[in-house]
Amino acid sequence: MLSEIAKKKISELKTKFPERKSAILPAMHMVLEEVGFYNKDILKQVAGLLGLSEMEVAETVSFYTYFPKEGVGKYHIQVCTNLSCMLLGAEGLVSYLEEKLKIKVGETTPDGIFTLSAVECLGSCGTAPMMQVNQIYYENLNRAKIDQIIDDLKMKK
Amino acid sequence: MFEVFKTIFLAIPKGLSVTFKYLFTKAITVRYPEQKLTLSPRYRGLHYLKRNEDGSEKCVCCGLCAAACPSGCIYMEPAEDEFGQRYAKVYEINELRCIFCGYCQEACPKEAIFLGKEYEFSNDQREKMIYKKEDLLVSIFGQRMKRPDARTGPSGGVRPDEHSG
Amino acid sequence: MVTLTIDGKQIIVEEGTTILKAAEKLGIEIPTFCYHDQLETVGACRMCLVEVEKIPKLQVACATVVSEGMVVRTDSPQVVNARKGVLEFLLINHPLDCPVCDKGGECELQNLVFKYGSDKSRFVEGKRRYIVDPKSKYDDLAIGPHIIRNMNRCIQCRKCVRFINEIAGEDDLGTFKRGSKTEINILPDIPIDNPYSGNVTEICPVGALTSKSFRYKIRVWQTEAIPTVCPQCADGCNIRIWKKDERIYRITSRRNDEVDEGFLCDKGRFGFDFVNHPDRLKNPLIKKNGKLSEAPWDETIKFVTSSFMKIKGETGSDSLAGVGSGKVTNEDNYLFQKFFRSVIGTNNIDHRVDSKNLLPSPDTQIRNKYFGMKNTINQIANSKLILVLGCDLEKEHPIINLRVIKARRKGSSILVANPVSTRLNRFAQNGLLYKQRTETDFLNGVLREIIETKQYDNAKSGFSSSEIEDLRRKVSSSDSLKALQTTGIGAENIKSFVNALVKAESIIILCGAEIISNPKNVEIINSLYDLIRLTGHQDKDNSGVNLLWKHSNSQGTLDCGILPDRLPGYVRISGKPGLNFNLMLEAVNQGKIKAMYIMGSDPLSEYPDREYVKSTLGKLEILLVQDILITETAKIANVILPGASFAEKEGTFTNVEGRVQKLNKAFDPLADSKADGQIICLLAQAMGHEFEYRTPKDIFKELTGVSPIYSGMDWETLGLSKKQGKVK
Repeated sequence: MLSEIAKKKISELKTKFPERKSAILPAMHMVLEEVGFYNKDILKQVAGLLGLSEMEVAETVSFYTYFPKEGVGKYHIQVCTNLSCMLLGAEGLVSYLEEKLKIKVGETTPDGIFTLSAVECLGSCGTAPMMQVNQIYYENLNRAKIDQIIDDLKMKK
Repeated sequence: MFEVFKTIFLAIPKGLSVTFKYLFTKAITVRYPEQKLTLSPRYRGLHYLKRNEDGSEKCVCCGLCAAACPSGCIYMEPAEDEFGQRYAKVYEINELRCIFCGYCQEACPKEAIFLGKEYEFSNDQREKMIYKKEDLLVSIFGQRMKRPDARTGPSGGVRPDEHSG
Repeated sequence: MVTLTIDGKQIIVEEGTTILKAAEKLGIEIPTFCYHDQLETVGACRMCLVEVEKIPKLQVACATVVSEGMVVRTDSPQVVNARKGVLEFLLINHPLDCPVCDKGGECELQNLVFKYGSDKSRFVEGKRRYIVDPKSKYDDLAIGPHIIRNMNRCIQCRKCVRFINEIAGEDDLGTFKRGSKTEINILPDIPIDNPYSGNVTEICPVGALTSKSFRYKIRVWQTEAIPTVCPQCADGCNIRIWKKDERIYRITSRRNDEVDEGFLCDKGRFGFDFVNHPDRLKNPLIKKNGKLSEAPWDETIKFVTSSFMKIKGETGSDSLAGVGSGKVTNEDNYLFQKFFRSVIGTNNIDHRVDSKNLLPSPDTQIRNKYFGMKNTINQIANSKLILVLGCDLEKEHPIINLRVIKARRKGSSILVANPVSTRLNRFAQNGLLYKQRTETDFLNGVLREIIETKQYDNAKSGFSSSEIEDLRRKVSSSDSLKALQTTGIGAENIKSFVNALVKAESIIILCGAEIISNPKNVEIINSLYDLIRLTGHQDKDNSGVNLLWKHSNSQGTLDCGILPDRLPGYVRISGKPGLNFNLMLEAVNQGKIKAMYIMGSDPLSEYPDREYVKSTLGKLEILLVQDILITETAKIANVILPGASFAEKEGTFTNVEGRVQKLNKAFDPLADSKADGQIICLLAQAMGHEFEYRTPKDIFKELTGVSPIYSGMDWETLGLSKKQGKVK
């Protein structure tokens, strides 16, 4: 899965931190750049390269919703459901998205284009409610805006 | 001498007057079994175990009834069914020992066990007074599956909570 | 020292103590969920909040260190309210399925809510569910062969994960995701299957992790807990048997910091099936016409005694022999040897049926080389270097293995040398694999390296220069140099091994079954003593050579004189010693021994040469086997007597470090079986001797009088934790 260059870079990370566990996140960013998602084999490889146990890597990665698992759609829609967004109606938007995409939170559309997940604070409380599609933030959302965003994405494919 | 006189001529008539007075009032007893008394709504008789609407047993065999029972007449053994649910593999109540205090009903967290209104379940064999789970369970509609007592023999269809004799 | 006040009571404690520990000393209870004194403190559950004067917010008692003049309140309205709040938060998501939960009745959450919680919840929303199978209503998941997980009940204290990581040194349980979605889980397809996994069911404060073997068997309050001692290995962990009527439902630990520190291995925790086994012997069996058939006790006793008398009268008492066992109690063993020595009149007694190579018997008073452990189990964790030689510690002595891991956590070095790789090797600074039966050559190489490089401590070792020269000549001979090459260990490895050894401040050497039953066992042990002396550790507290016996009462069996040449307490026999097990077999083949009485041992499956034992024992006129199950040996016996299991009798076990601990009787022996001591008494009485013991207590009293090393021990105080007798 991982290229030789990435493997080399990851094993170099080992020496950069006093605590080896600290290298997990930069290593996973490299994985994300190269593969775009993670699965069991990749975690095993990273653990092997860093000299950590598979459990330690898996625990850390599962903490962050940012790292997508294998099987994630082309567009990973992450709606913030933390305090500010929730107060401004994020939950309604989540159920609206569920209705619109005909999937539940944590699922992917059958055509493999959209994955919907509800995540914790993305640090954009001033423009709540908001969501993140892959790396891009969409802010001050309402239903109409969501309709437009989804349509745009569908057009782009 | 005077004491004897007092007993014969004063006390006996006094006592009998009470007896005779009741001769002319309405009888308190009824002609059981042809006639039966109406039971108090809070009457506690023979136990029964309820079912859920889907037909499964409500009892999960938590053991609280047995823990609450002052006469120690409830015995149970839990087990796991094919869905991973806890249920009572064995559930027995020794009705000879039971004092019908109703603590089991009060303790039950699943509202599974109740004390019904049946009181006619005498038997000529002690073993038959140990009621098994099958004897205690009622149908989804709240009717007895069978009534293992000497007088009527096995017969279903009776609602233990409405029974009035 | 720091003085502080807790709830108006003053106490002086050491610096660095936490408020929780200080309160514990005063007897003030502070409720906790995530705190465990063997684990690192995390302060995650917030249940132990207390009020400290001059600090505006409540502090966690488990992690706040005391300071001079601190005034702590654990019962102020603010604290009471905080506890109520924490419990209300926990109950937001904790399901109220106590009726089906196996923890119900001993659940910490249940107890603390009952004590400190509020009786209503203001939370109306639904509870969180971790759905395992969308089709099922239940979220139970088997995450290992012994463990069932129900995440709905979890309160995220992470005690289980911390135990697995810190104490057991494994990583097969982890915490995934975060916040309210936090999940305790295994990696997909890698079940939690380490020898300590059962502890998480006991450590879990709620019913999130429960044991499979106890699942839906019985409610805890219907059982009775009997304190006793684990019969599985020589470590002698303290346990509780939870029983109802005549059945064991589960075994849990009974914390004794001197021995087990409150943890059990899975073998001890779940391996009690043999007690409730349907194949248990229920009646005496006599072989008639080639078939074993049930017989009443009086007939069997009469048959056995008359045959014994007949053989004794015909060919003398030395044509009888007895084989005791390290699996039965001291009292039974004491009676056994007394029966043979005073009733039969022979010294043909032994218990070492698992090896052809026997160690010499130890001597009175002095704890010499062949005694067992020189150190205590607790000292292992304090040693700076631990050398495990010829021992798969995790399998043979799981609890001692935990101490080694603890020492590792404290920064000690671990050296492992084994013929095969063991799981302990992952912690080893130096894990060497030598070829089997080359232990002496390997040790000679180590000694040579120390002497040649002059790394030994001349002053402390107490060796005279001529002794060193002798030793040098021995280990540097050309033969031993050549032999070193056969071990399969390179010179480099030996060098680094020696480097670690000579640098260490204290050395504990642990030898397992591989060494004890080695053909060169005496030589190896001498070399190890030389090693300890050369490095100057022979008189230190946390140093020494330790032989780890196999069975739960191997040490006690030695102490009670189940040896052909020693009486109880290692008193030397004045006359001619009897035969050991190997010589007994020879004597049987020569027709000198005609009857054998085997109690608790199973030579057929334990002796290295099975066919030899089988054919030899088949030649006996009378083979009497006393056991609880039909063992391999029992199958070829003429008479079988049904004994009682560890749960069915009283008595004492002496563990590997020489600690005498009491077993308590949980229930009566099964059916018509009898306690082993009682059977021996019946036999002795039928042979016209006075064996009048009412209880094992009487036997123990006699044993303390006879055996110098047990003198002064009191039956009543045995078995109470910390007061157990310890052989000096």
